[in-house]
Amino acid sequence: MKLVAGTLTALCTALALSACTSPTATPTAAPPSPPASSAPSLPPRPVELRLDGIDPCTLLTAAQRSALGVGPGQASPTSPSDSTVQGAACLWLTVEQHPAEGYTATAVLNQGAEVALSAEPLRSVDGFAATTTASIGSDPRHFCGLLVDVAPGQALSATYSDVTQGQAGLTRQTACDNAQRLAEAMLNTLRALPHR
Amino acid sequence: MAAGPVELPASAVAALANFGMKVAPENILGLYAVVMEEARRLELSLVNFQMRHQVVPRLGGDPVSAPAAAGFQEATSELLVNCRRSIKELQDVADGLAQAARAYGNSEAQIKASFDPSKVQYTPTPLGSKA
Repeated sequence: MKLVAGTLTALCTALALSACTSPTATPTAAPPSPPASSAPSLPPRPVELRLDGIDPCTLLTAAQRSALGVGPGQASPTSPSDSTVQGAACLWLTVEQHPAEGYTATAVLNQGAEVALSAEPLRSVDGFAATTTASIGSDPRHFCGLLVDVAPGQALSATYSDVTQGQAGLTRQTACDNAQRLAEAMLNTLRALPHR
Repeated sequence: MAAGPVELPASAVAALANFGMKVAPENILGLYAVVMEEARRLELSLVNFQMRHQVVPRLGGDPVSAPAAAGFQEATSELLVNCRRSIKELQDVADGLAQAARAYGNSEAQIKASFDPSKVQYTPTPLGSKA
């Protein structure tokens, strides 16, 4: 848990021109666990797409990046030990919009999409079932993650973030639609790769 | 380049003064680029954190699924709020600098060319490190 405070403290102190301060409270609770396994299962996949060895930054072509309005991806290869989502990841920010909107992709190899089965309805991304996620400390109307069920025990994570939560009219539905646009683009690329 | 007096927003003046920086026609675009780069880096940090800490959404909009995470959520939220505020403040400073650059006679193309977001390199904070 120290990591989260440390990460964000580092995140803030890396900022050269602001007065970002840390709270004095030290969090002691463990990160949330997945729900019990009594949840319903996911529908069948149209095809199995394994993510082993996939670099998520390669899953968006230049044309797809342009359509989303984002620049080149930034790799995020390391997963902190307390991460709920583990695996190689890629971050993209919008180019023209400031403050930016952020998109991320992760080749999740440690858990399948069923881990996020919840009250929210399943989505269908190019025929693949997808569960939705929120993020700790972020308003679900301004952040949405999709875990696309591409293979047993693996998921393609696609997230959208209104980084500063400044878009007044944004809804959960729209945030998840934005994440789905990213997921659809990446699946398009993934399916075109040689059979895995 | 016309170098007449330029009025920056108070927040921008204060932020720059903290670091002993004075705005001049010669350094305005460089300052703008530095501030934009820092804003970008912080945005990437925040997005990376969100991506790594996804949880199952709960009815009612509470993004945390375990009651035990309440303290975690509170402290984390406070940090995230501060960092979002910092991004906005940096953006305000950058907007003020861009405005000043225009007043100094720089074109939109020059201002845009001074900062290339694709050149920003972000390295996630290593495990357990302190900045």
